[in-house]
Amino acid sequence: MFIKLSGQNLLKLLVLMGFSLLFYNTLTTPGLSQVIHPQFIWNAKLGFTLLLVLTIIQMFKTLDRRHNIACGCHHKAGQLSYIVFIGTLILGLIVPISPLGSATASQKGVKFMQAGTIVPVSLPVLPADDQPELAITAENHVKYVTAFYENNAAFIGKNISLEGFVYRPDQTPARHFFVARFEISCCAADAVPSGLFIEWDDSQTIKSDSWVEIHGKLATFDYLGNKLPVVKATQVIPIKPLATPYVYVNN
Amino acid sequence: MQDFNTIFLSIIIEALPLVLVGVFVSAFIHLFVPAEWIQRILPRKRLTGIIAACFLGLFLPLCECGMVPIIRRLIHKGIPPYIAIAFMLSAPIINPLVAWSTYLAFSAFPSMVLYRLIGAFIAVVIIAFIISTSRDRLVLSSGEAAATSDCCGHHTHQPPDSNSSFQSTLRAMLYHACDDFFDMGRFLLIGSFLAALIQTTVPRLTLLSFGQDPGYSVGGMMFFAFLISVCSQADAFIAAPFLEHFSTGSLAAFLIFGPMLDIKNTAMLLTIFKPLFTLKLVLLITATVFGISLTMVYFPQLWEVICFVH
Repeated sequence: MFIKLSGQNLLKLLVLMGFSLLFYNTLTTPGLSQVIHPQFIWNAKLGFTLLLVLTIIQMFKTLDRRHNIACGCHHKAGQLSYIVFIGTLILGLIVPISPLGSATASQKGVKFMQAGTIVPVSLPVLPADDQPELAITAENHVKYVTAFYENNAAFIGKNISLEGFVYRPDQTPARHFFVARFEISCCAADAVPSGLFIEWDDSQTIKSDSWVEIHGKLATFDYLGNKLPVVKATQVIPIKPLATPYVYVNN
Repeated sequence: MQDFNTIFLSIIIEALPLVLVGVFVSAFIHLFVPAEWIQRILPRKRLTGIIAACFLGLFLPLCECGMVPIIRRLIHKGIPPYIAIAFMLSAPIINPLVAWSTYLAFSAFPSMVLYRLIGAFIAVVIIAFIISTSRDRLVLSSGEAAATSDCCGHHTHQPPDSNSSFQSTLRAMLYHACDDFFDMGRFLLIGSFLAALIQTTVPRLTLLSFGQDPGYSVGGMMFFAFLISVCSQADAFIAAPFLEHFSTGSLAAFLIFGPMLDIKNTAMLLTIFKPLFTLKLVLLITATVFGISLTMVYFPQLWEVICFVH
């Protein structure tokens, strides 16, 4: 038996299948952590499940002859609105997910370096003086970097190490560059670069967007009239970009 | 370009699941909670009626997209317009789904949920009370009086020979959910696209200077909310990235005004209300939300106490 299918219903079915695929794709790539905070993965999984359910419903609806013939619905979606859905699918499925870089960092501006509310944190316990070096890792990045900016005097002379991508904010002095990681509290849309200025004599040889591991001593310096923490580097080691480039704010 | 794509995709992955939940819930309520039931439980006194209407959203967590057809039916069934409008304006904000998504988006500043809910409540009470004092009762456009009370024909296109009415209701509900996804999804995608575009092309410093002036930032965020027409379950995710740069009052203005008025539902309002009444309503909503948001900007301590900001 020949069933006449409604073109609009078929188009909707294809769009729903596309979106299910987009969610499936995103959930299964390692890039997932570059898009959303790991805390919200269940949210994306829920979305995928509901999209599958809608796809199945739409499949029935497309094949339902009575509905197609008798539908008095005026869901005047218009042809134009499908372009929005299809365009999103093309962008989402074809352009690969890539971690945010220094171009976005300069659009967003570094955390702490501009007017705005700093969420107060309780100062972490200082490492004992005999401890040789404080390693800044993905887990303690937010805590320590915030503490360095809020109370930089307390940390002067501390040896630290940190990793991040190189970025140069406006009017960075020639001997300095900035090492940052994006801080995510919900999804990539709220990413804010957070990190420290590095002082290093050969700083011109370090390319923006490359990843480095820094070892050095904390000090303060004057940047555009603000007293900011700076790492006087003793070692700058180029490294491969980290698999999880962001740091996550724990709520 | 790649950064734009990452941000665009991240907003969609984060917000679309909430819209999907909303689509399923609203489809369910649309079909299983009769308007008569709402009418029966509403108090008769004016102010208590308005306040009760404000909290109906707790049981009817609908997006603003679904509100206009419902209030049309309510007004046809004899509910005073000011009650229907109070319901229309409050339900997309004062409801558990929206509170939850706002909480998720503003996990760095959870008090924003209270700014949004309390601000919206005060605004709706003021707006509905002013409408209730006006004399004109005939607010529906002339073509409306004869129109059928059933909005989308979801019940009329059921075949009469269907022997199981529950089954056909269920089917209508599920089909409706599919259409809803498309009706609401496109505004979300356009909004996410614009938000990602602004994030990657406009330097924050430009936004920042715009966000500093209290009057401009409140008005600007309201205009932004009007333009992007994002569903109230997802708009918090678009506002949250601005937390560091915009005043609390201007973000609250965005979160309160967006669900009440935007491009798509203003167009829908014009199809049911008289043009002059629509204009009055739009101006009244705009002025009230603007005023309340300004009190957040100029009396921050008062609001910090109300909203438990530590």
